[in-house]
Amino acid sequence: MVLIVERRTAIYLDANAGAPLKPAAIAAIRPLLNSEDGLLPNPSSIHAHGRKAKRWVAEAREKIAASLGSSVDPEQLVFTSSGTEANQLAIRSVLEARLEQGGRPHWILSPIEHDSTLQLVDWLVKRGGGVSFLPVDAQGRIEVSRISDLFRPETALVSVVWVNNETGVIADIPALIQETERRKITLHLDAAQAWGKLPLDLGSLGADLVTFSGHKIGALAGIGLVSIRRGTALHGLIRGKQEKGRRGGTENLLGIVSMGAAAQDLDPVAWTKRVSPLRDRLQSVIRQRPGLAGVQINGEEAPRVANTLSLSFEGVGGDGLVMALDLAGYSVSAGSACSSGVLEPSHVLLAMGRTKAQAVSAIRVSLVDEVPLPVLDGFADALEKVVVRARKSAATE
Amino acid sequence: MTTSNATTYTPSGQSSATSRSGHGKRVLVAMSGGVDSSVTAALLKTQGYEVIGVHMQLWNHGEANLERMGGRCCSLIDSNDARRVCDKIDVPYYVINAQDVFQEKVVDYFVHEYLENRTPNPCVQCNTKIKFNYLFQKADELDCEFVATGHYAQVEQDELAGVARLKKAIDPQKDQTYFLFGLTQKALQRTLMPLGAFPKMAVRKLAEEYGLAVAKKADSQEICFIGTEGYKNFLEERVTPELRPRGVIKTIDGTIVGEHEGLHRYTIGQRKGLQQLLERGGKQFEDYFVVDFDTVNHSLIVGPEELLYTKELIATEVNWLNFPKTENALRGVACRARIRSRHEEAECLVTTFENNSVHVEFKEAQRAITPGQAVVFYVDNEVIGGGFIDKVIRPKTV
Repeated sequence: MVLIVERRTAIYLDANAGAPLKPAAIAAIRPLLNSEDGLLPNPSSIHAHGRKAKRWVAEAREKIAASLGSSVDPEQLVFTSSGTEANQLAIRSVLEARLEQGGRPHWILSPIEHDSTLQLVDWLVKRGGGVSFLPVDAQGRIEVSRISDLFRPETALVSVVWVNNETGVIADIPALIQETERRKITLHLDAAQAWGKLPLDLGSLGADLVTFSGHKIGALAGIGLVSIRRGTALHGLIRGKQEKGRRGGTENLLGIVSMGAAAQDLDPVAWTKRVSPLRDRLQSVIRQRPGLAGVQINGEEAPRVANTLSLSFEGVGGDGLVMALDLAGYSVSAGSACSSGVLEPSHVLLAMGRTKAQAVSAIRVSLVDEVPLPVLDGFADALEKVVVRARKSAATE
Repeated sequence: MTTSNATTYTPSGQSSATSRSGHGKRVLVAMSGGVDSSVTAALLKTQGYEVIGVHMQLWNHGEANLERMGGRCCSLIDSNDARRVCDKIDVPYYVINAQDVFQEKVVDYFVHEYLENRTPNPCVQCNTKIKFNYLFQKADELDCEFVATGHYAQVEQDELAGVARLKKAIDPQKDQTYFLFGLTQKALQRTLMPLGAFPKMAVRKLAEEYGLAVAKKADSQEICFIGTEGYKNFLEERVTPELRPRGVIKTIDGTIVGEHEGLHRYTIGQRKGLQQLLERGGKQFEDYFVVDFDTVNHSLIVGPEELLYTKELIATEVNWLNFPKTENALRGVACRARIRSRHEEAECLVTTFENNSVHVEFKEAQRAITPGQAVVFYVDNEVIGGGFIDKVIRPKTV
């Protein structure tokens, strides 16, 4: 069907869903795609081609290790297919080891974890394990001190999301580590949204398992990572000889190389300096719009990463706002979508004590990097227009 | 596969409904993932409308049921089919979540009606209570002037009278006006149903010519939330046995002739399931039907077919789309009425009461008037209103 509709390119304000490929990542994989022999060699091969590929993987691993802190051992990084697999590998590795010994491990986590982590709650309960959730306050802060109340002798693992993807709220990691080290519990941190947004120093941190995702930092999608503290055993989910037996399957060469280049290019301090004033400006512009009166900014009083803005408009469906903004040429998101694209109420906002009506009324704006001011103002105009319209249609219903 | 180019395509059955030009007006098209709504979207796009495809997720069959429910209304497959159609015709596509409200307003109602010994029509209920409400609210949010659906019905804007008219589809086999009487006049004025001007065969042909992957997809016939298990199992899984007690089968004069396993298993006019009477009572019951329910004693009343024929009913929750202006409401409205989706309308007189209820008296007795079903009123080809059958009035002599 032809009938071309002229549509200007939509403005992308959904960095937390996936950042655009970094030019450095594109430059790094381009020679691999344009090689004369058209070969993406298998790094396990002994021959010259294979050795070259193995070297690319090793170089990427070194660049990634350097971006994660001053004394991170590249050999303690395990590549996976995604952030989801990284989370599930880290969690199941700890819990399955206990289950296999006939134990009934107990797992403490926050209710605002990523879905890939929460998926394993049922999995553990079905196998006889126990699960406790850390409380979250109205600003989206995880109350890590409550570990002392939830702790049991069989507590095997604590999982906490470093930066929440919906609100951008940063967890209190030093306090958390104090709690877990004191009790010698294994700690898993989901750092998918922290990487590139906060300066990291895993070497001095003391977390046992930290997980990452490629497309959140401008690498290709389809590549994830688990960083393992030396001395922490990892039981693979996918058996095979690659990654020192910790994750089977031929290495995703393009993904790994792109992740190395993107990681090397990260500068969270400079990025925060650029992006933070823009987010704050957008926030105050939104506050001042008469049509947006009553807007609630979720996590406003908590420490947040520089680019994320979670907004609730009481009585208005977040899904409708996302659709209307899409038609107006702005890409933002709401809640989390299931496989059919249906939006469920945000589990993050529910955990923050919001009602179901409030939890379906939120949208998330997340800036990639610098945005011209007129674009931000244009977005505020569009937002005001669609919210006013939605409130009117809800009132006449 | 046809490789027709839609820009050079002119619909063969050109009519006023198809030539109405969209002029870039924005229209929300409700897309089930079936062939009808897909063609609706494509047609409106070729007519120059700015089409937005919206799929309502009404019922979650769950991933485990993907195979069992595959290809049916509301399943993931349907949502993906609708998405592919929108990709093909290059229009935006969104899925909206109406599962909670569907559960409450349609599924719970459906179960409740059976427990009240009525035979509900969930599709009418869905259109009346959810679909159009939701779609118009979404249309307002998305700044759409119109809502379009793939129903086989015609909406005519009568500019002189300042009203919209809901008229039967030109294909009498496909006409779906019976399911649409609950629309409001205000909604109707913003509604497009372009398929009412086409025979079904032409719609499939259009789907092929547009190159839509759903062109050969089977029509959905059953109730969307009930799978191969059937409605009886669906109810029995959800309702404790105390609420659907067994009871006796009686004739109209009170003679007990058998037992039944819950009144929800029967509907007025049904003969199936009464074989046990034949086995026990012999030939005299050969032509017996379910004619009524004794809801106090949970008894099933059976009788010969002539007892199924009655003339009068009371309907509630009546909605008038176009109350005939010349009629004196006190004297009653002379029109024709349909008492189930596959019923041929019959002449009747409708007397209105307060509380949106009406008394309907047919000229000729009608077979198996069934509480819970809709009664829809027609003048010529136009739907003027309708309601839900609450009671059947039987002559005192029986």
